[in-house]
Amino acid sequence: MMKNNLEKPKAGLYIHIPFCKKKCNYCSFYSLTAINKAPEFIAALQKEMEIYQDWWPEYDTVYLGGGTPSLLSINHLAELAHKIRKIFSLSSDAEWTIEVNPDDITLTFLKNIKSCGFNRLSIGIQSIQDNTLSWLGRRHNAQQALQAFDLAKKAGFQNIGVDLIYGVPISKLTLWEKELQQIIALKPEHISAYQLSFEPGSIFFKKKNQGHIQPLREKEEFSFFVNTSQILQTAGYIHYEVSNFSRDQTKKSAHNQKYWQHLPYLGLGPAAHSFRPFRRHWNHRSLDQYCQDLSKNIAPIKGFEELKINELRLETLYFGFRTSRGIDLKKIQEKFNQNLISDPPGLAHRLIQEKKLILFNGYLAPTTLGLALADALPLLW
Amino acid sequence: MVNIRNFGIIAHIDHGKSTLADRLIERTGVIDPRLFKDQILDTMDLERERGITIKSQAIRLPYKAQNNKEYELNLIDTPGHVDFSYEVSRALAACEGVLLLVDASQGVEAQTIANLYLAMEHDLAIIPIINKIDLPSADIDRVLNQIDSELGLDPDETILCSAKEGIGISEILEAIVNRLPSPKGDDHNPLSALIFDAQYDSFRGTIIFSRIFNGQVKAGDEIKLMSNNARYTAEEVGYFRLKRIKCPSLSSGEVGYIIAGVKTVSDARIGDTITLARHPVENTLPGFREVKPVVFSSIYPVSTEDYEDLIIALEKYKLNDAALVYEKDSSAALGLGFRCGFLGLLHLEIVQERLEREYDLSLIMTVPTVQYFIFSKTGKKITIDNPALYPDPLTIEKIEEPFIKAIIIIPDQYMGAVMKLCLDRRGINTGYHYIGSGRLEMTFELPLAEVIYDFYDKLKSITQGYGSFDYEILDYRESDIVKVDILINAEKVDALSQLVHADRARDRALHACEKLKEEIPRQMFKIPIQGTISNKVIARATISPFRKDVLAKCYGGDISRKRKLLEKQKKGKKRMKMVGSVGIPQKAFLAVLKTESD
Repeated sequence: MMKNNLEKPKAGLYIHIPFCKKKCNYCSFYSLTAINKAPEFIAALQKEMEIYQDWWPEYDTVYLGGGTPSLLSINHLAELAHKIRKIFSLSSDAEWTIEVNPDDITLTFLKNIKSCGFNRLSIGIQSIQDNTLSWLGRRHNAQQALQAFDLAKKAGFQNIGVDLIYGVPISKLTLWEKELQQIIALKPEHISAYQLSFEPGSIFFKKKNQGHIQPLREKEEFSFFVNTSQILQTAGYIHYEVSNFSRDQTKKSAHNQKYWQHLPYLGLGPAAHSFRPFRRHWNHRSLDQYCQDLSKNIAPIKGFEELKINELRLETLYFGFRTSRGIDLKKIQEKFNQNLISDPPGLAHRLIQEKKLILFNGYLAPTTLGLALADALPLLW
Repeated sequence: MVNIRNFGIIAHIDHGKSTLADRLIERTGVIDPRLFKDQILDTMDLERERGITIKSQAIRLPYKAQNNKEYELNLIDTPGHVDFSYEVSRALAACEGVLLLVDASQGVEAQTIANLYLAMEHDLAIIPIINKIDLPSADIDRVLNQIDSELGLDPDETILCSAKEGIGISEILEAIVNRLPSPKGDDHNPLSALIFDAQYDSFRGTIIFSRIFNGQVKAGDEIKLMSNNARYTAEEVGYFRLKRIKCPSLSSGEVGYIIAGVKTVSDARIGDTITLARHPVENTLPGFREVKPVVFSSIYPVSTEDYEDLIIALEKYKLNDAALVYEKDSSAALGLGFRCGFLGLLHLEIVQERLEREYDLSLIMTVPTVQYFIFSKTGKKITIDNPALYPDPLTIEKIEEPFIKAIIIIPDQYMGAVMKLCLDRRGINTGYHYIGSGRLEMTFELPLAEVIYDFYDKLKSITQGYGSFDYEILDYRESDIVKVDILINAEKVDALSQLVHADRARDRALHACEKLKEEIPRQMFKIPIQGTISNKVIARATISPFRKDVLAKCYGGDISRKRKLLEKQKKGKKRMKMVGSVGIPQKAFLAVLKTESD
């Protein structure tokens, strides 16, 4: 092992699988339905790995996201896992996550991906109410969702995360709370509960702008958000990021935390973003362009940015207010020469008094009320 | 001189003055009709865009009449708004006659009458013209009737015209020649010339627009402006076609321009008399007065960094607008700015728009105020036009405010509504009489402060656009004036303070509070807004805080986009005026000025 390995944090590896059987109404991620292009994509992806062979010395997380990674055949997935291990140096206890769709998976499939080395599942349950699922444009129904969880357990996964969407205009707070209790009863290690948002590029975004969908009012959104947090915390979950909850400290998504701590991550596949101090780059948001570049052994990079000190500062605040860990005051002082407690005067104390922030062990951290305002807080400093 | 005719066109707004002027210019062949639309109007549009209309100059039209004689017709344009009535009066003083234009469907309006009175004061010959006779809604008989009964003019001498369609133009040109008198005067008398307008030219300095009553002026003459005895050397004299045309001299009866190295238009005061330094005239021409602003407001740049730019912009702007007065001002909330005086609310709007457009500035203007006389208990009288200078109320013996005489002409079914409006505005009805079938002329004495607020808009709305209005300043009267302060988040925003009558204070304060509530973006904190008199709260509104502002997802691909969004928000915040921790957008200040848009 190289000497400076010890000083360097470990990186995360993200791989974007850009295929879906059908685009969901709320989704703005890059995906296509041309699954027949999978072989070409898998080949290109392996070339891309080779290009980035020496990008970072060691990795401790792998995350297959999408799109719908569970659309790939088990052969393709095995091939990828094998290649990852061959090209990159991975810690033995690395977290290997794959996103799966409830309607794609069988017990055999799950057992197979487990034997590929994946030790964490993120199941796109979204809802366990049929009308909500069809309104969202999902392929599966509630029964399939619950069954998928059951199969994951049977396949032997001990770290299962479920993705949920709440705050859909056709639902009600009380119904969502009931739904959440049913999920809690499954005892997943991790819950990502996303408040429905209208992302530019999604079908819902268009419908909202045309006036066909009336989003919740801010007051209702706030109730949904706070109640979700309270219910999950009461059930013993840690609300460690705006939309993320874990059953204990060890079950937080190691991979996702890299995004929020300016830790390095390498993103492969179309539209994937990569970061290492202090440069971010992103790939072409087009599978064709992506494959074309790689056929010429060119890194399929669309753009990049070097973070300037002010940008880094803003991101640090932004991430800090989104995570319950909060902002390391000493680090801010050292890196950006700002004392967040006294500059501007009175602000931090006012927010602490209003129970939006807490001061704990040298960290300025958001409470649940603070997390609900995470996007507005950085602009106050 | 017998072949010269100096005339103006007077009309209520939108009765077609500009179109008729265009048509006269076209018909007298100053411009080739084929080029007229394509080129000349384009450049005129451009001029209009820049806020200077070519025809606000005086244009000389050569005309060969049916009697085969060549005439020189000087069309002198007049501004068309009550704010500029003094300028109108000076322009009319340069004429021997006017074309009085009445819209065939609208009929006689308040400004028609006000302008007619002005013309009669100057003993001008009047040619009544009914314009827009081509309109389906034209009611020529009714308007002829009005010309007879309301204006007291001879309907038989009225010319029917459609400037748009070119109907009646020849008759008008012949009437100008035959019915308007030629100017009188003598070239051998000492020079006596009236300044009726002035414009600034960045190459030549001030272009003085003048009517020569007696004597002659030529390049090289040393001239004297009689109001202040300032002397200049005439560098060039001439007249206007569409451009300036240099000529050897201007003689009595003529209208033209004089360029004499006068630096700013303020130095060539409208109404002043020009004479020759070596052989001056004894008496000045009558009617000159100093133009005094009646409406005051402070201008601040939205961004304090733009203050230097504002200084330069005002200096440049002032070169061409003698009526604007300004001095330095400062506000705790808005920083450095200028206290400005305007002829009226329209003038204020013109200045603001031109400064913003031509000098690319974003400005905040404070609530317009009139000039008050404050008499202190110690017997001192002070004049204030700025709420910031309002003294401790305990030291005040009494306050006086300016009143106007308003003439309002309406169809009689609106009498009740107009009466109510004016009485609500503390007006005193001094009379009304029918001036024709179903039409009423009402006169009121009103506080000027109530009129500059939103009176004209209200009048238009309650009379469905049929009401017309004109006014003149009357006198000062004792009044119960208080200062209303606005507090945002418990901090006084000095720029939002206003002087108002005690009876209106609560309404105005509430209006301001509610407008601010609408326009100030919600924040994480509750923001109280209060209106106070001497620290006593008389109105309040509260901006409720927002509690949810967070996007659900923030993963690898979301970060740059989100950061850029935050940076943009931050910039937007910078463009707001910060009062404590509360950002107030420019439009919030503007909204306080505006009234309910019902």
